[in-house]
Amino acid sequence: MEKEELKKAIYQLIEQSAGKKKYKQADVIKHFRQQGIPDADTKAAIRELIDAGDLIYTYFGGSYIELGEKRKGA
Amino acid sequence: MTKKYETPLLDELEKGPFPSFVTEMKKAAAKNPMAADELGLLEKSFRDKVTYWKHGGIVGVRGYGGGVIGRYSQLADQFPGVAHFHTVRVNQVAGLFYTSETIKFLCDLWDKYGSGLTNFHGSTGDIILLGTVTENLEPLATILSMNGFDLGGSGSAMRTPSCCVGPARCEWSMIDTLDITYDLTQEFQDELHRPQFPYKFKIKTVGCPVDCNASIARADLSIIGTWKGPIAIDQDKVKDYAKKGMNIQEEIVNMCPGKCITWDGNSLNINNADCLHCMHCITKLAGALKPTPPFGAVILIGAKAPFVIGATLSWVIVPFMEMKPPYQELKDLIRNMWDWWNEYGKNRERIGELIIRRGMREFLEVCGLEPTPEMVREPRNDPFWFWKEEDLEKKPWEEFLK
Amino acid sequence: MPYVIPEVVDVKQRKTDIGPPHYKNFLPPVIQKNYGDWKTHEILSPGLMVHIANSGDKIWTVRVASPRLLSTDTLREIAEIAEKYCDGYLRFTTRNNIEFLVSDESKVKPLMDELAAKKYMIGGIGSRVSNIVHTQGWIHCHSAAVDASALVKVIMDEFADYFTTKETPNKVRFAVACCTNMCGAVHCSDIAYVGIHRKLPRIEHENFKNLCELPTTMASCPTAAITPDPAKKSIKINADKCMYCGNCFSVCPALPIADPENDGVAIVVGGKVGNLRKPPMFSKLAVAYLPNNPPRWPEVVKATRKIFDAYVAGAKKHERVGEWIERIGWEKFFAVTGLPFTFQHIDDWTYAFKTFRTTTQMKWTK
Ligand code: HEM
Ligand code: HEM
Ligand code: HEM
Ligand code: HEM
Ligand code: HEM
Ligand code: SF4
Ligand code: SF4
Ligand code: SF4
Ligand code: SF4
Repeated sequence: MEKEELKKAIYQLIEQSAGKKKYKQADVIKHFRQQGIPDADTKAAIRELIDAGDLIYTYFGGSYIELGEKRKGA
Repeated sequence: MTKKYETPLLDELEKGPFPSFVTEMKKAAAKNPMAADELGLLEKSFRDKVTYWKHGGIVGVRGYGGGVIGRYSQLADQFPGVAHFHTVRVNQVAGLFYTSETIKFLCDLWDKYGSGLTNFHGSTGDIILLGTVTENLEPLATILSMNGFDLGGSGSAMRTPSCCVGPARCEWSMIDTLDITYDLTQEFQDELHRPQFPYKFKIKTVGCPVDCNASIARADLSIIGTWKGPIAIDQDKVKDYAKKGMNIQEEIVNMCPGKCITWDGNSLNINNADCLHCMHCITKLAGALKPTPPFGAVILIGAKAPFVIGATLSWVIVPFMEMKPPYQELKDLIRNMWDWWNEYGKNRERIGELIIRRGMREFLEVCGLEPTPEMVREPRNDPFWFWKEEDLEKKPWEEFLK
Repeated sequence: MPYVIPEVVDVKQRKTDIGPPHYKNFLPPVIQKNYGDWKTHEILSPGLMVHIANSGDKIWTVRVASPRLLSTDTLREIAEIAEKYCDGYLRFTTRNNIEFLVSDESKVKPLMDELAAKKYMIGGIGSRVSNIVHTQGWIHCHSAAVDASALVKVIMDEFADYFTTKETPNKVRFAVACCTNMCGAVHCSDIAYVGIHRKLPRIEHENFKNLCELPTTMASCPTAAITPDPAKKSIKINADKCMYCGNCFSVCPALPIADPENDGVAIVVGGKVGNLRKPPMFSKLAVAYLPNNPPRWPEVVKATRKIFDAYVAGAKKHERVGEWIERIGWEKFFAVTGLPFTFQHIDDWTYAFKTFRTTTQMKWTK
């Protein structure tokens, strides 16, 4: 998978699960590992999404990855 | 002028010889409306005997998942200055050394962007800047970085590593605690700022078994300096201690846990083969006794506070590791255990809890460590143990009975 | 290093992942020169020690207490004192003390005179009481069962002379944790205070739905006291199993546990972290509950006095509190301190049997 495509897929995963299931970074990596994506690629893609502010780390009794817009709303 | 609250209960805590945190809050409150409301809110907690902080809200700086902790008052209407009262963790200097210039810089910065209240330091080790609002976070982090400072860790991340004063000012330090701390902090910047673990991971390094940073009780990974050589003895200095009134028999010989010291009133003798490396004699006879090389560190794992499986102290996983830059063996070990923990750890499960859940064997195998008696207080005392297929093929007795 | 605080901040200039500055920039020249090459040290008075390097160089350290919570005003004052006597060099200790690092012997006395005149509390070095490690309490933590800074203040006021002058058989390390999270090393201190709850969390069924995840909340409970309540889309708590630890509240804000009338303070004793003589030890329960009585918690101070005085009177030189108790035995500890032994003192947790006395060896105290 191309990096941009992977980034989109990660964003969608988080978007679709918002309010239902919370993903930790390791959960996202495991999710894409099952689709054959190397851990390092997923990690790098997450990093870009976080740096751009599209996704953010949140803390609620443990750290998760959530949509960036949550921070603006808080 | 900032708002002034009546604080009869807190005023009681300005009495007495110990420096008063209330006085500190009042000093800040005189200049800063956030600090003024914090003081008012605290008085109310004292009156009502409950805390008025709530959790929640998501704050931070772009790209990072930690270093800022969102804090909001339940009573924002009454105390608008603490509606937001976020905490910023700033990575401290290893060994907690500063110059006056640095302190003044941090003060100027915090007077401009925060409440003027600080903690030197939090128990993780960070400089704690208490109380700011969301809009100030990005500028604050930017100015910190322009001046060579960075945020510390929070959440499910590697926490800011910390250490004892070590070789900077302690004759007993057998490893370079400051350098190890600085080096690991730089090596693992990603793991510090981007919380990617099941839960927190603390690393604390101390130079000797005195453990001045309580690493064995407070760190998931405790690195404790130790030695293998004999204890060097300056007999004249020992005699000086005796002359000055120390009862060497009572205070040193009888208190040695290895029962390996003798004293005939003239010379002190240590049977180093039985020494437990506890530091008692060395600290009590400062200047007279000295550990000698080889120097290295004991690596221990797993300390945490009581929750979930109860309080634990760290336990030994590597009895002795050489500690020379770039500390590659240590870094490889840390990376291996993190990978395993990320793979199997549940949310809020510390690495020590995972080891207990899945067994030391799996952990040791993942880390490439052989079992040794130094890892246990005593062997197991129940008759129920596991065998793997590969164990059945091994015939160790053919070796050890030869 | 000149520091800059620009008027206008371009946040795009922020550099990430730079880490802390290198410690070498903050070490006094005499430390840089003798780094890792120290020979010995002497404690000259309760707040003054000198470290001597193999080269013969010396550095004097003057230690004063701080309440850890510091205003920028006080920090500036400390910085100026350091400039006047220490070429600007100072450090902090793990236990929140401030250490002035003096390279010029002639400046030691004037420094100590000025600190004394400004009412700084000088001391804490050697076999005595040092400053107290503690958590945040009502100042900023939402799960605190007791305030931390206030307990530190009243205990340090009570034992101030053991910081500034008097000696104890060995170091006495106090610690305060405002709830059972125990962010500090409370479970391994000579004498420690833990904020505790004594009643079940209250379940706000309406909020539960919105704020909490069922599996996470159930998993957070160490005693498996939490079960689902499908009718209410919420949870139930089994009163026989709940230990009031507050762990569930930590993951679910709809389970508040704070209670002004029933929260309070437990005192635990006999822990240590160092490896000297005995291996590190956990603290054990001495007083199961004392009421929250702000602002000065007089019951807590008085109970501590009993323990402290019994230790000072009974311990051999170099024995920490835990070593003293181990030598005399717990039955004697309760006898000499006059503290009551109650049902709460007998463990009823999974490995409780490890703490039961499986021998006929005991001492008679009455
Ligand atoms: C006489 C020599 C000693 C000196 C100069 C010395 C110095 C220090 C220093 C500078 C610290 C950090 C202080 C702080 O954070 O406030 C410290 C902490 C500590 N020291 Fe010592 N120490 C000495 C002897 C001992 C001895 C003999 C013991 C134990 C029996 C001991 C146990 C500790 C412990 C456990 C800590 C950690 C602080 C804590 O309790 O949490 N020290 N010591
Ligand atoms: C400083 C004081 C304390 C120390 C040193 C301490 C130590 C411990 C230890 C060693 C365990 C593990 C016991 C075992 O192996 O079964 C434990 C478990 C536990 N403690 Fe504490 N404890 C302290 C205070 C408290 C307090 C005040 C509470 C609650 C009011 C508490 C609640 C618990 C709970 C709920 C567990 C069980 C956790 C589990 O094993 O799943 N502790 N504690
Ligand atoms: C370190 C491990 C073990 C310990 C500490 C232990 C301890 C004991 C003790 C104290 C007794 C009672 C002795 C007596 O009544 O005089 C006992 C009995 C016994 N043990 Fe063990 N044992 C251990 C391992 C084993 C193992 C591995 C087995 C079998 C594979 C075993 C089988 C038995 C049997 C059959 C008895 C006699 C039971 C009876 O008389 O009712 N034990 N053991
Ligand atoms: C319940 C939720 C809690 C939250 C959200 C929380 C949050 C924080 C935050 C944001 C800090 C950063 C420093 C600061 O602001 O001073 C901090 C520090 C601290 N907290 Fe808490 N805390 C919580 C519970 C506790 C509890 C229960 C304790 C102790 C019983 C505790 C003890 C401490 C201590 C000792 C520090 C000092 C700094 C550090 O360790 O980094 N906290 N806490
Ligand atoms: C949006 C929700 C929340 C946020 C943003 C948040 C944030 C934080 C942060 C940043 C910390 C400090 C982590 C650390 O550095 O140790 C913390 C700690 C803590 N939080 Fe929260 N928290 C949230 C919800 C909660 C809730 C609802 C509770 C329970 C009422 C809770 C209980 C705790 C506890 C007990 C700690 C300290 C102990 C620990 O780290 O396990 N948190 N929280
Ligand atoms: S832990 Fe050891 S080396 Fe470090 S400061 Fe304490 S006594 Fe010195
Ligand atoms: S270090 Fe401890 S065990 Fe070793 S000789 Fe000294 S007192 Fe004995
Ligand atoms: S307070 Fe502790 S024991 Fe009680 S229900 Fe909550 S998590 Fe379980
Ligand atoms: S017989 Fe009893 S009293 Fe005598 S030494 Fe042995 S245990 Fe002690």
